[in-house]
Amino acid sequence: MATENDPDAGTTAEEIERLYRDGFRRYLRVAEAIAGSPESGLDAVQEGFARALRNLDSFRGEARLSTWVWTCVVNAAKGARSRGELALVEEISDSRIVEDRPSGLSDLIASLPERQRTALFLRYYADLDYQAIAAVLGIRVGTVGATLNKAQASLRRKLKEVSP
Amino acid sequence: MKHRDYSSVREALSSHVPERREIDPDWEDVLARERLLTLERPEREKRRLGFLRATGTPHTGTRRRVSRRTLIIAFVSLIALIGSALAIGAKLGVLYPWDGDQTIYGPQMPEGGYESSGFSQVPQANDPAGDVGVVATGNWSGRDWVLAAYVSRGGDVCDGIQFEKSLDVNAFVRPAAPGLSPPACTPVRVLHPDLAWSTEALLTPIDYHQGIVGNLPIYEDEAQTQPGYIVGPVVDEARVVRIELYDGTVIETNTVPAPAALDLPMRFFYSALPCGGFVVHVEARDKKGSIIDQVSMPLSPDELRGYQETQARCAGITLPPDTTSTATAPQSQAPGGFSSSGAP
Repeated sequence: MATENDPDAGTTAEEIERLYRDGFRRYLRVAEAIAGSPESGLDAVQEGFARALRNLDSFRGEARLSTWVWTCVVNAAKGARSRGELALVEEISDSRIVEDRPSGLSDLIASLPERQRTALFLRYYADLDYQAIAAVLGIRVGTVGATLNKAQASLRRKLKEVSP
Repeated sequence: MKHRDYSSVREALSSHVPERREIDPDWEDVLARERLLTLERPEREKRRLGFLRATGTPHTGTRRRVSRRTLIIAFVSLIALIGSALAIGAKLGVLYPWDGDQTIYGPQMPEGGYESSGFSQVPQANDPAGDVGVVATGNWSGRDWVLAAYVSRGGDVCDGIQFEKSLDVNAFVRPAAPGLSPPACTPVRVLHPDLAWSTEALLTPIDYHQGIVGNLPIYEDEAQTQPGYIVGPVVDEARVVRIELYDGTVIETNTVPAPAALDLPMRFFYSALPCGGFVVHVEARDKKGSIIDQVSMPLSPDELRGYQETQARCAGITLPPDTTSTATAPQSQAPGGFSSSGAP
């Protein structure tokens, strides 16, 4: 985690590579959770880092480099999810019945509002602090706490509802 | 419906997406993708030139020189035309994102900005749903700034600080240029003509975000020694905000009413911070001095060390390996004030 907390770290391609290698599995887990599949998640991580490299000039001082890279990956994963949902909609034929009711853990988590869901992923899978989550999601620190509390309470309630 | 009995959210999330140890990082693939992104523009250019050739310019020497000159003149004229159009657009205040191939990633980029690079459109929840109002203006370290706020389409109160002579409202819906910052948002229940929410105040009584004065790219030398700033919304009852930095420095600043454009019972606070001054605690206090609400940001030892090094760099000194932080006495300030107590 030294990189996450080191404002001295240069904004070089090498530094981004170090973030990638050190945190690959955390990026992958969050991206998969957002994008909805391991393949899309992996693609989002690779694409997010490629675009972070490509747009290094646009990195500014409001966030740490690691936070900025997280934003690139999260946005790439959101893009992948949107494309996936679009493809799914196109695949569903008129005769197929889509069940409204949540039928699994994935559905329960998917039923949370996007901001709550992403905050949970960043907290639990990436172990990011509130400040970093705030920067990635474009919200403020106090809002992160409230968002996570709501998400956890909501998820606990939903889990209880469906437990035997 | 059958479900296992998840005892905690953590357990549920653990089984939702397990860690994938079987997939290894592939940095070469990242580099290849990055090169592909870099090649996008020349590829298009090549195709365009191919099209020009296909449309049949004879390859004789004279004709070719004339043709090239004509192309240059046409190109310059086109640039001048685009420049004029952009200038007029900016004057009229209708300038919208023109980021072309320069997709900007990171907190500065509105989510919808991915369209140009093949990503799907994502709702731009942080875009203004109504007027953008000026909360305050001022000058920090020789840089003029404008703090503006608005209600977003996502139902939040958003604010952002711009280090320009005048407010650029469109900056909130396009990738940030130097001197601009992306808006940060806090949930609020409001009544807006286009949105069906009930009218309420902030859901989070105090919130904040901090940045570097000038919103400079962090790798620029100037950014390394530049003071910071903190801004945020507070509930209407708050009159003073107490800000504590990681080293114990305390800054107190008065709150100011929200601009009329927001039409909300709430206030804002803002203050410059010493270079390297990372905020760990903010409190909203009413006129009697009672705490209304507070937000804390505890630091890990690694983080603490990182911020100590930043502050030492601001002061132009090298930190010895065993340095520890020190607390200092609080100081009161007018809005936007700046306490250097305990700061380099």
